Amino acid sequence: MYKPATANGPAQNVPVPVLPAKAKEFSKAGLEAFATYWYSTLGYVYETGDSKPMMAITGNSCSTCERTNGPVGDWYRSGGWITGGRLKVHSATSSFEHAADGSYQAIVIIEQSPVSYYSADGTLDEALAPTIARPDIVVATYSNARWTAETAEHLTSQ
Amino acid sequence: MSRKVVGVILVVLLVMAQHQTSSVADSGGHKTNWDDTGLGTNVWNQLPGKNLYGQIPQIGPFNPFIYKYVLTCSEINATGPKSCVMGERQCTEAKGGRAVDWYRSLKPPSRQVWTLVSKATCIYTEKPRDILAEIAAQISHEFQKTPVQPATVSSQPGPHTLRGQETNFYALAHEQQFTITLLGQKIHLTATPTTYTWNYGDGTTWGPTPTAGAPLPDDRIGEQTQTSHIYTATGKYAITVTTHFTGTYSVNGGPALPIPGRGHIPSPPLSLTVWRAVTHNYADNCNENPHGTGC
Repeated sequence: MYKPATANGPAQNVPVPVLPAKAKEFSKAGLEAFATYWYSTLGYVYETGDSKPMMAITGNSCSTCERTNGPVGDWYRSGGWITGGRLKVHSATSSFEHAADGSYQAIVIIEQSPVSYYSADGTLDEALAPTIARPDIVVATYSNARWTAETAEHLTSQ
Repeated sequence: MSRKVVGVILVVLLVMAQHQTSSVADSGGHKTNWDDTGLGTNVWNQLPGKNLYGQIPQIGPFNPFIYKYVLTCSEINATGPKSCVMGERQCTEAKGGRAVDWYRSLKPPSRQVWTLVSKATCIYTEKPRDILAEIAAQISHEFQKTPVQPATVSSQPGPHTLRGQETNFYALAHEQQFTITLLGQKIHLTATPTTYTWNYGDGTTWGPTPTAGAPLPDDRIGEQTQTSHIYTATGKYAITVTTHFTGTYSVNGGPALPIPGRGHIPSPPLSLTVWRAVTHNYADNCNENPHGTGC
């Protein structure tokens, strides 16, 4: 049974995110479902340190992904764990217009549950301040009957 | 045979080691959440005429939000009675203290989705909703009255330069903070320089442009820069720069809300004298030819 992480230990039996059928569709609703799904793979990184589900649907040029996955993965490999980190998606909207480079965009309002880093010996290493919901942009391309996120990052500096 | 295996293992270790260093260097080694600015965010702006965003420079900072406020203790507010009591308890600095919660959404054509920005900002009045609307109505006017410091303007070379040569100009302006009292509320204003309009004093103007220019090292003075200018006639010139500031305001510690319009702050003129340079070449020194220029 799934148990979220606590001060006493990492999350247990975190369900591996499964790409919904809708998120494979080449349509406005398909892209919106894909963008929503993407943030469940991001939450999975924070809960487990495992970025495989994310990188299965993400291009290598996603620098925000790399800067998250590297250190978070290292933290788990060192025996540490993270509490919080799941992402609530308030909304995902795409105009489904295609940009000059052939990509499509979705604007996603996301809110992350407060993140704390625990060391292998169980001490609280760092508790990051809670954050408010903010808009992100997911830039995606469609080929071979599936979406790939080229990047997912903040739309604004606030 | 065994030597070969050792070799392969070494290569794998090397690759792993390289991978580790690169990821640590990227993150700066510190622990982040998704909100962390260190993750890197490009500057996204709405593309003209499209419901798409692109990485294009825009004049002024992009504020894509609209804001609204709800009384913390109103019936339509879903935050519940607990936060309501807490909010009211905090607002004791003056009589009539009420708490409001601020929400924001992206502007249309994005779908309207209100999310909480800050809880329980205090407003001291009988009718907090009216007072916030009144502040919103007056804030542009107040912003125009705020004594925002203009940019300082410098030239290289200066105060004398030569006709037909590149003279480099640069403006230096800072973000400025002000606290004012409006309708009994403490309002915090921030003015941010965003663009500049250059007037070179010879009929040439440029801008508004985000380019403020920058000083050149001494050995590079005379090179062309984005803000440099060539004077084609000698004389005295007055160079002026108008700095365009955008502003935000915050009521009693609430969220920073955009102020409609911009402040246009002219700098005092920079005086520059443009001379002509005449070059005479002589084969002899002054002893041999005392009539040469400068002898």
